[in-house]
Amino acid sequence: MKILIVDDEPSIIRTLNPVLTALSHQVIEATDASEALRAIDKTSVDLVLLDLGLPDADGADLISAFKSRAQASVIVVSARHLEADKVRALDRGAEDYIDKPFGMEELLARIRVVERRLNEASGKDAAVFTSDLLHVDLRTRQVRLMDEPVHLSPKEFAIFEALVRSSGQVVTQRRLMIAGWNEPVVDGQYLRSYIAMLRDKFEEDPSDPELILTESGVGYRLAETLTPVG
Amino acid sequence: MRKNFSPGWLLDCILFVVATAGTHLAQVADRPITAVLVYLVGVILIAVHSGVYAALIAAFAASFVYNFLLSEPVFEFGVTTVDEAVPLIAFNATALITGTLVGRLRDTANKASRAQSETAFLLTISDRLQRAVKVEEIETTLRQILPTQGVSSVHIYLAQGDFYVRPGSGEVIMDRLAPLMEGVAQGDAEKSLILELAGARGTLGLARFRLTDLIEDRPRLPDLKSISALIALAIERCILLDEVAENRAQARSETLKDTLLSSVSHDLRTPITVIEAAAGALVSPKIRLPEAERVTLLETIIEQCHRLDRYTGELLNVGQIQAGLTSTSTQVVDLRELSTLAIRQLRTLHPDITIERQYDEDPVLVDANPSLIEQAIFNLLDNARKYGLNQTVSLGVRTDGELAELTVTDQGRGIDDRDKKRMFERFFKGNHNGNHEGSGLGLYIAKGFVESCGGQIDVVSPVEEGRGTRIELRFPLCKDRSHPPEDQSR
Repeated sequence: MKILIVDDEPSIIRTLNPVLTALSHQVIEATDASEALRAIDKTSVDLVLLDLGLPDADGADLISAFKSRAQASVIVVSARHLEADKVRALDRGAEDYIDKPFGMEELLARIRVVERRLNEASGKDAAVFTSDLLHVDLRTRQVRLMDEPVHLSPKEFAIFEALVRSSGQVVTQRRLMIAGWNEPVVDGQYLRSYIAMLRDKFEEDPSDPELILTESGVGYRLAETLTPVG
Repeated sequence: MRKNFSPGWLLDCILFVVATAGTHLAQVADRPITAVLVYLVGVILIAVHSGVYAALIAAFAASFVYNFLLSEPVFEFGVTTVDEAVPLIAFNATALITGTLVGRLRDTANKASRAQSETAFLLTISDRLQRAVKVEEIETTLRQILPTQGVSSVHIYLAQGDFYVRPGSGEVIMDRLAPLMEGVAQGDAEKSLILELAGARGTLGLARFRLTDLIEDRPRLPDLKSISALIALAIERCILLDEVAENRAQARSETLKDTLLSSVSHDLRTPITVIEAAAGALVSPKIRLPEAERVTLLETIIEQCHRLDRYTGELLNVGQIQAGLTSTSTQVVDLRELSTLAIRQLRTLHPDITIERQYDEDPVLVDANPSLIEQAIFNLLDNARKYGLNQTVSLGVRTDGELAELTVTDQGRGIDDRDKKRMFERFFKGNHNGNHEGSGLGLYIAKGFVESCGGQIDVVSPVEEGRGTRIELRFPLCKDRSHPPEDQSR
């Protein structure tokens, strides 16, 4: 994959570059917004690792440019840990985010999700998603957990479908509300109740979820990565 | 009405005498109609000049003089014919009508001029009150203006919930009747007037006016209702100004908090991120790095540990300054020596830097805390390195009269006037720093340390031809006490 690292800290680029290179990615570096925009004009990019705190622009303002001009996926790297910043970036089309400081393994896992999605270009129209744990058929609305059928109400299914389509990545509360209620602003309590009902059906211990994870203040993440079939 | 014999009466008498003489001449010339008309003109003139009473006196006098002295038969008073009655009636009727009309006219004119002076007075008050920025200034202003208008004092009571507060002293008055009772207590309740101060958002409070005389004895009081309205307006303005100032202070503190948050999160998290990511890559069995890359990552970890240590030190320095650092352990030190130590410290971190030294030959002694000043000089040099576009940095130490002077000059792009005002603030980073290195604390710390040692810090930029920045430190010079005076006999 061609990965553009946009960070004003040379030491971060110096650390990430050899690691990503060793994993056979091609790395392009940019230390500010203008350099990043020049880079995507010059060459195609698959993924941007974007630091929000750039010296010459708000990183979030660059996301739409990355999406429209380079069709690149964006993982936001944030040092300020402000939920509002992350939600804004995700609403503008970023695929995922990761907080600084991050473990290398965690970052690589996020990159792998993007890479897999990229390789499954057909996945957008797919109706069946599967993994070792889960099997989801969007047409027949059948869900199986460890080969056991799970019965979901229409609203539960709608919310679960949104998580499945972005499996492995964070889905904002706003997107889940649109999926479940067709409007972006509903009482957050509704969403929490439905997530609790889904956890009752999927989690071994709903009080300590391992599949449907909460991203505090931002949204939810389906920890299992599913592969589209057909 | 004039009670004394004044020039006004004198003029009336002269007018009367002149009219009498004129009438007499006309009478002698056998022109009786002219004679009567001349007297009539005299009465009209007196009416215009002195009003209805003077005119009536003149009319009676004229009637008498005309009838008794001038008209035939002379020295005989009698109203027997119509010819004798007409002048009497004409003089008095003219005097009455003209005098009354003139009186009314004069009253109207007086009223107009009084209204005008009242308006002018209200305008003056309004103008002075609008200059007040604090409520207590309103009272002071009123005390300067109102005594000329029969009001000896003004007290403002600001309503706050169920009680009053006196502006200035901040004294809280729980009893809502207190403003009234104070007048009673001072025995001059009948000289007090209490008016409500009504603002746009409801009652603001009360104003108690103390008059110099009883209310009934003052035919002309200033328009206290209008004055109360002006006071209310001024109070509201002061309150709004306070709110604006409060909002500004709040915004400033929010900005500082915001800067603090982003600065600390950036400057602390960046090295931690690098260390965690590098260590994670080194430890992961899935990532196979060439030996050279592994060494680079290890070196990066060490470098970032130093960076964290420096930043922690800086934060501690800021803490010291904010806690009100006073330099206690001072001693007489040579600024040249401290400069050399600071240069050595900087060279261990940045061996490539070129520093040109210009030192006085003799020691440049100041009474200061050596480690604080060394740190300050180091920060100035490091700043010159960051902004100096990799050019030579000059460090000068010299004696200038009663002052010790130390200058650090770079050859960078210079600083614009706006940044110059802010460059010594906490977390301020110039936007022309290409590598975004630094925490924005160096110059703040240098300033704090230098000032705690009794020194002063200034900036000159651009130095020449639109380039370069020079930071100047000045300390009171210390006389060299370490060496005994030279032996003159040798």
